[in-house]
Amino acid sequence: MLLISAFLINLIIVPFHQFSLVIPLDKKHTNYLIWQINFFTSRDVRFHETIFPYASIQPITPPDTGPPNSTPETGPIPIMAHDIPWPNPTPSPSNAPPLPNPQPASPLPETSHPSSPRHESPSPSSLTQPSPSAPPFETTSIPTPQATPTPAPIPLCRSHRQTVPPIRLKDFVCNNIYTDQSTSLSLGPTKGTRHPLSNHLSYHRYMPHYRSFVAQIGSITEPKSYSEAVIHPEWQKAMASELQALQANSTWTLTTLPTGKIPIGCRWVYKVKLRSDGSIERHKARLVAKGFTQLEGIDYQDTFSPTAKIISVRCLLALAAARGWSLHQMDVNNAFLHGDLAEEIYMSPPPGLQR
Amino acid sequence: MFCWLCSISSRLLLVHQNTRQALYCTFDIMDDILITGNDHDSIVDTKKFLHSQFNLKDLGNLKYFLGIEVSASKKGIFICQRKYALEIIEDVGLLGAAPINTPMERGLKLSNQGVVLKEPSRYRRLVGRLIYLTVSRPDITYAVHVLSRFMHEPRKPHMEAALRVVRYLKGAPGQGLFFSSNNDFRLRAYCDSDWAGCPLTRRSTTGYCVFLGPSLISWRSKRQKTVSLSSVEAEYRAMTGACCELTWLRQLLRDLGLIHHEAALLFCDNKAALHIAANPVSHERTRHIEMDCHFIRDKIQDGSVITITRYVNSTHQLADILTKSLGKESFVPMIRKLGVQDIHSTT
Repeated sequence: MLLISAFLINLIIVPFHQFSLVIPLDKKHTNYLIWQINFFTSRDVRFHETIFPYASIQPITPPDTGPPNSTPETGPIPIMAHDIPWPNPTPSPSNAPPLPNPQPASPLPETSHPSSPRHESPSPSSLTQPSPSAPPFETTSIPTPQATPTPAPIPLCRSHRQTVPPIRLKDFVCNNIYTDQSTSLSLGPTKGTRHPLSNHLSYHRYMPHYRSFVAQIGSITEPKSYSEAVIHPEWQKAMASELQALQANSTWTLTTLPTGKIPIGCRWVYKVKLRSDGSIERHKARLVAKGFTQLEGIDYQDTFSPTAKIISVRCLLALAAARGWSLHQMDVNNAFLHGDLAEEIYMSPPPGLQR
Repeated sequence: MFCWLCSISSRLLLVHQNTRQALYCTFDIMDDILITGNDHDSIVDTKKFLHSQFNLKDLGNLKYFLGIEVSASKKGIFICQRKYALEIIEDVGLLGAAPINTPMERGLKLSNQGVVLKEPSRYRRLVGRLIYLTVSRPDITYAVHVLSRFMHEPRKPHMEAALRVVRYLKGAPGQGLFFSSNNDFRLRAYCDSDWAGCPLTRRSTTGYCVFLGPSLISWRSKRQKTVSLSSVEAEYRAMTGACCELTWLRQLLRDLGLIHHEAALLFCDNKAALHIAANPVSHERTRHIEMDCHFIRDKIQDGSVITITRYVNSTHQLADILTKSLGKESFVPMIRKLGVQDIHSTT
């Protein structure tokens, strides 16, 4: 306890008006003791207006290095440095009680029972819903300096470690909103989100394993163009293998374009294939010709596209649901249309092809 | 060892059947394969066989397929396009926008008035993506159908209407369709029409939806090809559309091993149209829709496809949502009746 109090005295320089301490009581971190301590800034502070502070300080350590009671080693400054921009959009609703106030652990994101819906549902709302104290500072559109004297809602200094695992599932959806709010917290009246997505989207009805799968889908971004993909080695590999397969299949022969012929373009389509446990099965790149530039009667006579009608897929799913059948999925590595082209088609060489 | 039958109603559906087991399999978009069946061992055998013959990878249980998220429980299967919807909202930049209750303002009629958009491709891309979203969302089908009428020359009011659909999506991005595990296989269809609904061409709109037991499997909203002189005529054309769909679905379900002995029900809210369908008397005013007349009468009288038409009160007409833009009081109960659910809702 002595150690902690010494650390707190150090912190007085930091313009915190309230500070709360979260101490895990047991090893499983299911019970917490929360202390809230109010500070009053002293008048005897000398400002060095010509000296840039913290210039000689080392880069900040990542926020989730350890529990808060291990932070004395890093000193007071890093706390301030990463607590203000820390994306903690909960403006503490409990600013009023001035005394150390052991609260129930409800404002903390729950880690121990990820499957329990009772704990899951309040956490998204408490994270992003602007609390009753927030709206005035969101709605005022003019950035007036009046925000500085009033005690702005200061983010609760809570343990960084706990916020990570359950929130991550929601984070991927609301990334923009979270960053917006964190800047609005530190900068005063700016655009915050009055309608965060987490009001409309929650995953508490899913089983944990399915929830992680959904999170996995959400975290994957597939590149939309060649230039986006080419910087990643895994996509380079995928494209190389597709080109190799196309050449092995002798799909095309390289030639010069005769005069009077218009080549059709081509592009890469990128897909990430997932196993049912959510792990990445492989990166898949497919080369498709831009067939829509062809002209009927010149480049082609008739069209045939072997795609299933979505109604028949729904029909199959409805039937599988009613009969209780299990559904399985398989994926073809290199799909080729094993047909012969009667027409002469010229396609411009795909980006990434080595001559 | 493996004897597959190619379904007539869907070429990419291969069915394997013998006395003990029935196995079903769909081939999709060239490289995705769905396998289902009542016999687990046969599924494993099929997978092994396919793996040995082609360069195939087993991805395990179906969860993510053509951008559709599939989740199954004992109560049934739920499909949604949550990720796809979120991508649309993000692309448009409305992630922080206020959500709205209905995809389209009640009674809104879009016309070719207003400023022509400078960048029509943005509108086209958005509507094109919304069209794919209708795979699991019958609730926006009508709105998207109306928007896609203006692809050739989008104007400002059209773009505003499209953005309203996106704001509606924001309210429930994880909404999707639920297929119940209820063991009921009756086919029901509801059809409706909006007479002279398109203000530009005065053509009518057909809307129908087909249920297999409690699950919605097929729906459509489409502007009719010709102008109808009366609402009965428009309704009649809608009945024809629904009837064709029922015929095809019965065929497809028979290929999947589900044979319907009882009649499929077709619900309609226009009594005059029902009378024409039931009466074999030719009438002067129906002469120009004779083909449709004969088609439906044949289906009713001939026992093979059997479509019994029933009258349904307009308030219980589920196809209403596919022919007009409703207000929120009727919209929300209606989509719940269609089987649209939101397992992602926070409450």
